[in-house]
Amino acid sequence: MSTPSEISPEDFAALCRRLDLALTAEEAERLRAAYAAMQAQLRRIPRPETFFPEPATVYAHPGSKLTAEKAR
Amino acid sequence: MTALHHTTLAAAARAIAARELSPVALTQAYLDRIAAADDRLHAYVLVAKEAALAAARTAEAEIAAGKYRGPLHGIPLGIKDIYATAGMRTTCHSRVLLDHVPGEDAESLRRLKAAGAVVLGKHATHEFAFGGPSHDLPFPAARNPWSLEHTPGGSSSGAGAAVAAGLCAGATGSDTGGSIRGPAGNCGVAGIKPTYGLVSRRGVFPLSHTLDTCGPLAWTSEDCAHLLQEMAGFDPADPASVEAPIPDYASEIGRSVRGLRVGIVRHFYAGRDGAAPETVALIDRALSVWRDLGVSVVDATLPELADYHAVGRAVVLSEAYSIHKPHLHRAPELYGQYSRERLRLGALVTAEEYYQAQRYRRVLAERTVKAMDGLDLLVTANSYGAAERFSEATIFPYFGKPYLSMPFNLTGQPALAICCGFGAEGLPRSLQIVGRAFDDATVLRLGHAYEQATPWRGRRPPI
Repeated sequence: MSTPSEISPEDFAALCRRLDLALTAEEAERLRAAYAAMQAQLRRIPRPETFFPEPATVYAHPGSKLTAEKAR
Repeated sequence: MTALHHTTLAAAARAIAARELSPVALTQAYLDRIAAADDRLHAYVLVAKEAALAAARTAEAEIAAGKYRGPLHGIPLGIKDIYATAGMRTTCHSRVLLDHVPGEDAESLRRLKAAGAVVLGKHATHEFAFGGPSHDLPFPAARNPWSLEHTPGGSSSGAGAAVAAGLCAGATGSDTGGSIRGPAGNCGVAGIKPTYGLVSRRGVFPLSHTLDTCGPLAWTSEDCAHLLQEMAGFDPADPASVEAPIPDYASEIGRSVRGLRVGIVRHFYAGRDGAAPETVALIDRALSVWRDLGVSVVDATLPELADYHAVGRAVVLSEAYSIHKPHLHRAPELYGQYSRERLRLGALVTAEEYYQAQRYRRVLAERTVKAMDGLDLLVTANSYGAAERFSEATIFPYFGKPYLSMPFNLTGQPALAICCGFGAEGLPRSLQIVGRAFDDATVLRLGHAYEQATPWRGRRPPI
């Protein structure tokens, strides 16, 4: 896993205020550390390589016609 | 002689059908077992003794009158406490819903009852199938019957513990990232996450709408087949429900496994930072068992496990937060610490991140299907080693080793966890069998064949 990039306590406090998250100092510090780790994890998810990504690319469950056909 | 509470569901069903076993006697045996052991296990948050005995008496009278409904008639089950139970408290193991009494049963439970099943009570769970194992909730956390210092896994924690210890013949669970398969593996029982869309989620408190799947836990794959038979079926009131044909699972599992083609996904768990060598060796031995039965086993390569994990984490956290936000902001003190802090992490996933996760989920699902070209099934580890100790539990367990169960929630494929042996310390180890969408029957068939060929179903926890 890549090294988490830290958000400063001040910036993180501002983010939490915007999201209306009322945290104790201890909770804020734990959440800030988890947020950094989560950001590192989310960077694994590749973004489309062009400005015009392929259509209909969100998940469709196995009952969908498309997935059922591909599974055959 | 096997104690009545350790009879398999399938064996009890055969005895009831032959009128050699009374549903009332069977129900009483489980109630006695609960009274004797649950003060240590905490698998139940509610025991419905009188209602269970009344249902068992009704079943007995119906069977005596020649109105036998099928293999679940008179079979006592435990129900995860996120399943709505009509007239019976349904708390999701949380102070938030401490006095909640639904008016209707969850749809899959309604089907189980229509098949004649008897409800013994409600099983402990991680709070809202998310926050646990936590000790600040209104009920104690369920414990692992193989070792009370270890967790049974979650979130269907009470279900796994109760099935293993003989406190019910079978149980309902739910699985969003492994919540059936984790407890099944840690407690040494069988548990299937069916194909997404096969079992209705109506009346089951949601965690993540695009991942949640309901399914059974029981001592054997055959027992799970009987439970899935009744739980499965189209429900127009669940938008994810699929109108697919439902095979006769119990008959299907009796077919030979000779000629089945299995891909072993070794790169998920073997090697550096993977499973303990003991677990790897036990899975290798399971593969040998299948080879001896005529199964062909080849290596299979899927996308990186960490990719599935990252996508799954973004989806679960976002969707869970979207469900809980109003209550969480209004009364955070009603949630346990684990739920409260985990849910807040979901607030920090942006819409762009959530969307990209869902987009990439589709790519992963397509690559997984493609990796199964020429294969009937996949096999991989279900966990890296033994169940963790309660003292090892952390608020944010998401950033260590990636979850082995998550890939098949993302793809929607059926995945069965079964016991594949025991570690030196005496705790169970488990593997997963994964099938194509809606081929749950073949998954159960391979599990059943393994259980028939190995001694593990003969070993029960010491409690």
